[in-house]
Amino acid sequence: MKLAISNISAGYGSRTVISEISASLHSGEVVCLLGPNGSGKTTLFKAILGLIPSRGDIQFDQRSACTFTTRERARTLAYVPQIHIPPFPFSAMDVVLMGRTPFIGAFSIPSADDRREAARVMDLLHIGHLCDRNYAQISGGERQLVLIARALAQSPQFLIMDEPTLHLDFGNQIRALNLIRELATQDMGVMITTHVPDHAFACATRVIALLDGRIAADGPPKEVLTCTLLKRMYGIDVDIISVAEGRFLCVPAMGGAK
Amino acid sequence: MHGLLVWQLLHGTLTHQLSMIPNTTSKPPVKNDQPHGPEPANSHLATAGTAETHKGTNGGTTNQSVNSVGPKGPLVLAGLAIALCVMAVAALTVGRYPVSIGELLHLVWKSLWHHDTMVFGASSTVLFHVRLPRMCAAVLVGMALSGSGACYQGIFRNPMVDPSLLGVTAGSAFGAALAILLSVGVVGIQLFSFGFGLVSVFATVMLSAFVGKRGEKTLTLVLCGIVTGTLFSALLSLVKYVADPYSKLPAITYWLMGSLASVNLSDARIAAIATVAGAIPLLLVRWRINVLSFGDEEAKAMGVDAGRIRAIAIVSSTLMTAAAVSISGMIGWIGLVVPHLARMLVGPSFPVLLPASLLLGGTFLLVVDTVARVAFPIEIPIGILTAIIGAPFFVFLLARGRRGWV
Repeated sequence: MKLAISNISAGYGSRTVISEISASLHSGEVVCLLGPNGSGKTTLFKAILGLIPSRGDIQFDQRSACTFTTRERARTLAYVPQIHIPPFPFSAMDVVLMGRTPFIGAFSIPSADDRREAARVMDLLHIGHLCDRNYAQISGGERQLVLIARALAQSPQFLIMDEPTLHLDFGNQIRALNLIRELATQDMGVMITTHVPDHAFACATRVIALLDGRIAADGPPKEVLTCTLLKRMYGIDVDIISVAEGRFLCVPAMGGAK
Repeated sequence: MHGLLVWQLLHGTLTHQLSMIPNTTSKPPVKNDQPHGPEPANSHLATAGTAETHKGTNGGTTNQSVNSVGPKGPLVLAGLAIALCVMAVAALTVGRYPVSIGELLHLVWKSLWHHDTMVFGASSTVLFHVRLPRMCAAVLVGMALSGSGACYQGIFRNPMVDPSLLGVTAGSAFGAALAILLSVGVVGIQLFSFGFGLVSVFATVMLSAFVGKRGEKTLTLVLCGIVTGTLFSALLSLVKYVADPYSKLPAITYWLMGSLASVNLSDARIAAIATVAGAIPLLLVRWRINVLSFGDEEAKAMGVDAGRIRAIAIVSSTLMTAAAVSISGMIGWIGLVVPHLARMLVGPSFPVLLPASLLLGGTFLLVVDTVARVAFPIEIPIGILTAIIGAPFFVFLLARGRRGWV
């Protein structure tokens, strides 16, 4: 499947944040959206998800997104938000079950099948034991996994993840990135944002760099992520060094930000 | 109260603190496998018990959580329904003119065959023309306020919210006071109160559509609710100020304290229609209201038409609350507290929380109204009693909750 965005412009009120963005996301791809604060990453996500009105066209396999109902869209495209705590003590199972909503009739509640599917997805992510735990009390890493499970319960073709490594410890960051790669090998198209270019090297098949609401670069991480681009985006000098197995690390020059 | 609320909504801090109360207490159910009570006097027995219970529950937990609505949701709901029925019978029998249960059954049986219940004498009059309407009204008003409170807390994602959030009670109070000032009679008071309750919420919604900050819809709506509430409170003060201090003003003040003393059968009927009309849509979309408590954006991403569901929820809740307030006057506290009690019993999932709140609210107000009627030589306005009885009860539950409420 292919998610194609052409000439998307969106913003809030009279302020345009992103303008004329064209990009695509294929099944099995991990696209990493990079850009400084305020460059329009979240706005682009919201536009793709249909949470804010936008000009331009979004297509899922040649079919325009505006012909999708909210439920149809939710079955195609799932959103993993930044981790947060809801005001009520839902269990992890409750949270994952909400992902089944696009399959639940407007006037009904989750069926036994929905519960089984939610449990299956949780087992898939090895969080079956969290089932009855209070979502607000589990650790940040576990909460992130529950939110991913909720998104997977929508059985989508595409995942949109807003900073999936934020608030996670070093080990969990890497685990999350590995999980994202694994999802892509199972033919999911994943788009994530991150503030750490290293993560793009680690898991992305493609990088889209946003700058002032426009695409500054789009391509494989090794070709796109250059010292010049990072300097343009973040305003600091960065060395990109090659380490073993063809992997790359970004090392910022300290004090070079003047 | 309103100032506090804005602050919470803006910062979200208190919301989180409050939401943490049940959190800090809930334990994974596996913990329950430990033997309870005053062990381990006999250590032999204690260990044996542990091993056995462990075996028993280990197989059950995963199964249960996958297959049932909640760990014990349906059971608790059944228990609450039974409690409500028991209380209803009790409320019909106790009072200054006691009616025995045998007599009650006999009268009910007879009334099924004869239409004119007046002919059965004093007991019948007391039962069918005084207690029955009042009992029904108490249950319905309790249900309406609690149900809409649970709904508002969910859709506004704030456990500090009660049904008066969008100005419905302020509007109703003004309507009733105006009707008393204009001497339009009992039915007039109810109509004015109901009408102005609806008008004030409509005004709130229109106002927020007019102000229309994109992306901040919920906050705008709540702030507009505060504007409308304040406006109608000011108008209420104006009515009180110009009212005759010897006849009208006491009537207004008394109405505002809330009472079910003068409820008759037709009032109860109106309350029943409005409560059912409001509760049915809420029960129908209860799963989607549940999803809404994760916020509009996430709800939309999960396929929920957030705006439409919120509109349904607000209209239904307003209908229920306005009807309740118009026959009972201002009864605060219930809409805020009962959903919390229900949440402690069945958890936060709205499909179970809503029926639990309805049942618990009906029972709670019925208990309070019966106490108001029976316990004191002079009847104390129910609005006062709900707070006096409810406040320590709530504190007790909160304190107990910290130690483990499941």
